[in-house]
Amino acid sequence: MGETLLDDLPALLNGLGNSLLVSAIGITVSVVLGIALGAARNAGVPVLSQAIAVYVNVFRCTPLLVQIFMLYFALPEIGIRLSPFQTSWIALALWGAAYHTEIFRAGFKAVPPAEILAARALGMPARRTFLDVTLPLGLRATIPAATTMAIGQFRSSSFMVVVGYQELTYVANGLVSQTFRVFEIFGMAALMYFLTCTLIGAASRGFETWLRVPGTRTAR
Amino acid sequence: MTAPLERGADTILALEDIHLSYGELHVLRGVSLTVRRGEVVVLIGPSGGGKSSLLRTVNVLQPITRGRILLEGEEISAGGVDEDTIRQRVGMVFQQYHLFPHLTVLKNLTLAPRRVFREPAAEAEVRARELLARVGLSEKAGHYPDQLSGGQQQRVAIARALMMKPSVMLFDEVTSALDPELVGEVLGVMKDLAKSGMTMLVVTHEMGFARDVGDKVVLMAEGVVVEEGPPSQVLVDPKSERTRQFLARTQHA
Ligand SMILES: Nc1ncnc2c1ncn2[C@@H]1O[C@H](COP(=O)(O)OP(=O)(O)O)[C@@H](O)[C@H]1O
Ligand SMILES: [Mg+2]
Repeated sequence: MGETLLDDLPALLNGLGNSLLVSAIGITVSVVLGIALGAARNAGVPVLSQAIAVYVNVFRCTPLLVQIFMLYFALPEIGIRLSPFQTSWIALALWGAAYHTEIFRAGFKAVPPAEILAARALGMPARRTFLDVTLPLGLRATIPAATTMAIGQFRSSSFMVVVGYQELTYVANGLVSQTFRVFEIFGMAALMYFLTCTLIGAASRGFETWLRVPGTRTAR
Repeated sequence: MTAPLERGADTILALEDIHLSYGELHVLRGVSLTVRRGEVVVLIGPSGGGKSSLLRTVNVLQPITRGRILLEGEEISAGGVDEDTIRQRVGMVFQQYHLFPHLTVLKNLTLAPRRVFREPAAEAEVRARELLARVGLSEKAGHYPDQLSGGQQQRVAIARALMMKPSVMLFDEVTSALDPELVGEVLGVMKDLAKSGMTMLVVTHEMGFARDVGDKVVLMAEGVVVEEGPPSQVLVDPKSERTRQFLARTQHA
């Protein structure tokens, strides 16, 4: 820590890197889980579907902070010890997957049944039809909502300050308590969050445009 | 079609006393129907009479409540049949085309044969281009469905079904959603298909098509076959009062 913001920048950037790391892992795992669980929900697989509904409800209806505490402080009591890093990405993944499951379930449900029927009428098996028709059409429709959730997950990586993971908020907080330059340092951290989220949003819109089907009114 | 019997007398499709209920609603009430190889059977009748339901039972998209359906002599209405395999042998074209909007015309055609038969992409594409030429859409291979007119989309849908080399093709009011000036191009494709010897079961309101292309016309109403016979008889000199009523109403429309 130094005299000016410039001296603190490397530490803050390092914190941002850590935030990005746990977010990237957490978001990836949660999106993959969300697609799989959303598909199972959409298909109405007995028992599994109900189990997923319970999971979604539990993780949507308890605060993320409580989930982090459970992972970090409660799990050791049953012999599972997670590092701050592990806690951070697992928490983001489990919490996020609950929302992504609902997002993808809704996306798959919104695929016109007639197009699914057309694939089945050609003799394509249900699983193949899902992969070739429901999945690509459903995913296109879910990009905006899934992006909003991913941005939320990235922002929420700041919660990991409570387990001592050296992400951006943790680093900023440490610098502030040593230098007392509250406004500058938290201001810089906020700007970093803001710019990253803006970039994620822009990348998502670019992705959407890239996937847009010529001739269609909307991205399908 | 002058002499339908010369096209071979072997039965492709036999429906025996088909019953179908949607809950309380008894939609098919004992329908029996035979379609022979190379024959074009045209199904006409008032809306709600069960024509679409009947086609869906043949493509095993809709299980029947009673009766038997035989496809090339094999019972397909019993439990335990492989529905996907049967559907590959029964082509179906819908009123609203239902193309895959995210795939090009070419990919719409090659998707199912590649996935189902594991046909190599190159071979499937050669066949697809041949079929596109047949329906007059060679130039549209790289287009997406939403860039095509309704008539073009419907011709793609016909070609897509033909890619599976079906034993029989089912058409469910495939021109009903089209602007009048586009109806002709789709009927033309169907006429060519009939000439090429394809076995077809066609639900339509196009009486001209029924008269010119049909080997047999079947009038269905309230879930039963009211009358069937050659177009020259059923459409011109119907035996049943119900048929006469229906024809009178379609002529006014
Ligand atoms: N999936 C379904 N569930 C319940 N009722 C249906 C279903 N499909 C069709 N019906 C009803 O069955 C009757 C026959 O419909 P349909 O087979 O579409 O006749 P058509 O094609 O001759 O107009 C109609 O009363 C219709 O409302
Ligand atoms: Mg109908």
